Amino acid sequence: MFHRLFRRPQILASALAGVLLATAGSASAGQRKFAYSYETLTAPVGSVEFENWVTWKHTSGDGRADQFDFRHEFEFGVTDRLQIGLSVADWRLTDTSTGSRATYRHSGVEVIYNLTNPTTDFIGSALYGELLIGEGVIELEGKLLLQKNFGPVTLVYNAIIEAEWEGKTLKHLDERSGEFAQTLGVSYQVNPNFNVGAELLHEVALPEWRAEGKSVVFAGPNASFRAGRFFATVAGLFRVTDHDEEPDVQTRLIFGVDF
Amino acid sequence: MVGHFPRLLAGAALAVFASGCVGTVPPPVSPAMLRVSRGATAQTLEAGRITLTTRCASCHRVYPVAAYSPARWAEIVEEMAERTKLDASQQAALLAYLTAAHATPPPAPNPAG
Repeated sequence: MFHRLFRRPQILASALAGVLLATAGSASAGQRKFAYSYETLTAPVGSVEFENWVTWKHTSGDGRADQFDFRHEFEFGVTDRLQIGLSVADWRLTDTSTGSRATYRHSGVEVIYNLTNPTTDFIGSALYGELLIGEGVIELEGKLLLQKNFGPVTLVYNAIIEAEWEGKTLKHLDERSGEFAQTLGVSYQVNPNFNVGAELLHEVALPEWRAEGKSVVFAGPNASFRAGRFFATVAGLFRVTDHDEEPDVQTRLIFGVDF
Repeated sequence: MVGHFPRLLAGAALAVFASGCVGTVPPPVSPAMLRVSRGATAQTLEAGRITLTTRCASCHRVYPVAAYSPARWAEIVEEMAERTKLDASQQAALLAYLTAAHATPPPAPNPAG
């Protein structure tokens, strides 16, 4: 499996850059409390953060498969309310009964604009937009982010709409699909460096943007840690609805550092 | 059941957020706070409050101003300023707000309810 992976120079370079950047220098990390939900406060002006994501999805049964999705992203605080992220490389490692393969998926940009504060306003809110472009794929994603802080407890809700165009090349994007998703998260601050909580993910496929497709729900615990200027957030979600062809479990780890 | 899930989840989220008015909120800048602020302006105190509810709150909960003494707040702000990259003016405004808010008695409850 891994010798195939390392034949891909762009993937190897991306992985090495991630390891080097994540282990070099000092930083002052903000801390993500959730792995599947975004919070509404944006990064401070002038800050730069580097995040590495890995999402593992395991499907059992006849269609047994393990899928690892990786993301390497820089985030910049542009103004008090605006944050921009650059996704250097999203890539996927798939392991099935017929073999393993690694594929580069896309790169892109995301923008988060904070509207209201989750502590002082009635409700915290922000808007999120993302554009991802790959060899034969374009993805657009929009999110409404809501958050409320109650002392040590943080509640978040994300509503997500996604559109995807796929084809052999960017000039021949003849397939289109969409998805509506919602996430709900709660996190309790045990101490300033450690939070625990739970997250829920609900996905509704919108094939051809017309009919409502499968509706799948995942739920499970999360935890986030901070050590100095580094942080890590992890969540393990279990499928709680039928649809055996969907993953039984998915786990996401985000490791971040500020520069 | 699953078909109703989007509405159930959205409804639950709205109900949770509708209760947002009971959240812990740092006291707003008030005339009483200005009187004990040792010369800090309302703008400075407001800037300190914004720093508390954005920069500090992006990593951890917002602690009640009464949770620590002014001397302890000074130590905490100095320790955290480096981590959060606050400049000198932001650090001073934050400390001015925390000190003034700590010295300001909470408003008396409204007898009219």
